[in-house]
Amino acid sequence: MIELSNVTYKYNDGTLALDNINLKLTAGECYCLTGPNGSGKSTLFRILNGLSFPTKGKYIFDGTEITEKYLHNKKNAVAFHSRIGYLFQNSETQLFTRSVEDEIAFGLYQLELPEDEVHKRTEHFLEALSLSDMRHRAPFNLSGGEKKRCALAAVLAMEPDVLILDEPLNGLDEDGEKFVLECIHNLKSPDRLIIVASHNSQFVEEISDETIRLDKDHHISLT
Amino acid sequence: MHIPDNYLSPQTCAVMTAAVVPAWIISVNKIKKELPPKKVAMMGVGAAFSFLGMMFNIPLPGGTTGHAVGGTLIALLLGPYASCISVSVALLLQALIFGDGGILSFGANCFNMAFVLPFVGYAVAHVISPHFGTNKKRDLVAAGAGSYIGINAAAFCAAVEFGIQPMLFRDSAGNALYCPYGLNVSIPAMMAGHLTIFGLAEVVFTVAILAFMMKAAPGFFSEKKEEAGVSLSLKVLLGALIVATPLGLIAEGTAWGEWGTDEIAATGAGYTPRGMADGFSLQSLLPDYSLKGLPDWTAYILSAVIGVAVLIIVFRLIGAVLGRREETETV
Amino acid sequence: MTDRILRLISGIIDNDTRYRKDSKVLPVLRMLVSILAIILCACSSNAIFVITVLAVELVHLAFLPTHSMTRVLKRLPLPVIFTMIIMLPAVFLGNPRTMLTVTMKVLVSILILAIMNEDLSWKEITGSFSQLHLPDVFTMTLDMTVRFLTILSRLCQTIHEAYILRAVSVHRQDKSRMQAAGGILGTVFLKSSRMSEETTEAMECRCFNGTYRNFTRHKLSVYDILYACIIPLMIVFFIIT
Repeated sequence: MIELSNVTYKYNDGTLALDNINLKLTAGECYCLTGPNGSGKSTLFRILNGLSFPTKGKYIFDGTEITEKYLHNKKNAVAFHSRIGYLFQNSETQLFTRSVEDEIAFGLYQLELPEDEVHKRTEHFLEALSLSDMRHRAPFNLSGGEKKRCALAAVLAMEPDVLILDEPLNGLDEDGEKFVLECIHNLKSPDRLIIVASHNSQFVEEISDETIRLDKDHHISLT
Repeated sequence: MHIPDNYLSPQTCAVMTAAVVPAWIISVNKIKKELPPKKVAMMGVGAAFSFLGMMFNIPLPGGTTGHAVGGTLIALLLGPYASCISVSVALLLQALIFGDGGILSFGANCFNMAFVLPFVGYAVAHVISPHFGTNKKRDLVAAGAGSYIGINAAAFCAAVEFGIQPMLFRDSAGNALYCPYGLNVSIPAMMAGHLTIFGLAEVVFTVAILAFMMKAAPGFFSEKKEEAGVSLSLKVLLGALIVATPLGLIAEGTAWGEWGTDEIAATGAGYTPRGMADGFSLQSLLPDYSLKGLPDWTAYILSAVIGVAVLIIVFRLIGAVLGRREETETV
Repeated sequence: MTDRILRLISGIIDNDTRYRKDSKVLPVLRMLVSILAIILCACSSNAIFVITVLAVELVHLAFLPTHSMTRVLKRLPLPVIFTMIIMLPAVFLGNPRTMLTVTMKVLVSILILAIMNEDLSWKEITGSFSQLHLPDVFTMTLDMTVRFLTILSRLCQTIHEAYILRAVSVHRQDKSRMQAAGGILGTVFLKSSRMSEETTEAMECRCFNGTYRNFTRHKLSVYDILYACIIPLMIVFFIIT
């Protein structure tokens, strides 16, 4: 489903973030991305989400090479982004509407889904992530755990084929961590590819089928 | 019965203001302690009715006009203390924005119409119907009697205030500085109108609205906080009264004791008292409820709308503040 | 003094979290009527039109829920006092009516806008902008600004608190405080630019392509027809007066 072929990424000032990465990820698997701080995990996620593009090499998503030119076309961009759901490390910047309900419905309206479908999915995910009581509350007033659940609901509502979770346990208490763990287990399916970045080794052991390790030299290895 | 500026000497105004201030203080304290915040908001509606009632001028043969006040009505609905404050606020609005009633004589006007009228009216009504709210017919009779006696008591006070001016305040030539008519003129003049037509107007106003409230908004008389609200029927009644206010314009002529400086010489005094000619005056936004360029009836309705809206807003705010204070106190 | 300014900046934004039901009237119509009323009030050469609009808005205000009414009234004093101060020279030049007229027009304009803000949710307002074919970049900038003002004011407050906890020196020097203020505001600025980039990317990831859609599910009703009649009536009344 996802293929990175000799991907290298350098920042504008020449700093190397990823060095000659080769990776093939298939649907139905749950991968965990680990590595020390500064190894390039976030950069890799940005490339997978089409927010940044490789300095060298190719990123192929479901047979199509994802380039800046390709995503410049609005239709392609919408089609691509609707298939990849990305949970940011910092939930605050990912929440930008005035209520939890609107947050979940936002992506669905962008996809121009019919009204009843939007309503149905919004209700389902409000219920599934225990957000029904706070549907009218402003997202930036929620607690850390609630923000995470809200952002997750907003991403899941679009029913993406690929789910990328960047440090999903950040800022969560024990109950919150259990909740996210259970969520990920429930999300696993033969058609879905899940990539999770985490420092928590216990968590990694529990959910991952395979581990992708980025080292200090920005090289990748699979275990 | 609105006493304009310069009809009473500043000394009289000061005395009357000093007399009414304790009434205000006690009323405010009583309202804070006893009236639920939602009923405080209803004071705005009460004040609005009083305001509208005072816009309906009724002619008296002889060329003067008068009007109902509604103080007894509010006293029976919300209590005499609430009535004192409601009518005072309505009078303040009229004085500041519509130039109806003076600024310096505000204390005297409040003493007459916001203190004497509602308390006397309430007392009389409760003597006739001690368990007010239980027997509709007796309540309406009591309300009618109370409002009649109340308005006449207020008119008598106003007459005395007018009448003592020439006795106490004269210039070196012997001319009155302020109101030129002594007690021998002011009392018969004021009482004639109020014992007859204006008293009747007050009775009709009070009884009609009370009867309407008993039928259309019985929840108002309920002790339960939740039921005391501005029901649709009340809103409709207010709206109807606002639209009907231009009827008050039909009565030409000025009420006794409410003449302008230019009119007083022609009323029989023969001269314009110096205190009036050189006295205090305030240019209001909508003087006499009129606006240059707009037909009188339109301006009248506009004035009524603004007056009612402002009164409701003010009292709802007060109710909200008291409600919040209540919450913090119970916590 | 620095503390007070920073507290003011961080506390200045009203954290609007209340839930509103959808507007009974079509939001874009409601907005058009409000804008037209403000323009006509500004253009009117006498008090009649302005006082009539004031009367209508006062009635509207009188029947708003109490908390909405309080919010609207809180917004009035500052602009009105500011206008009176600005227009004070007119009084000295012998035209007190000019000051009163301009102040009244400002009062009425703020009242109209504040009440409209109570009636319409932010979602309805931005949806209306797109229906009025205003450039999406305008709507997006406005939306981002309003959103980030709340978030950044909190951030400013937090950084300020962190500074206060560390500023334990006995020697209270204004110079170091001003430097600290510069640091705090600078950090907030840098953080804000990063956050706005991240938010744009988050919106992109949720298929936002720059077009603001109208999300309101409003069905045309008799209220809309009645409300639409206000536009010609207002214009005619303006011309007559």
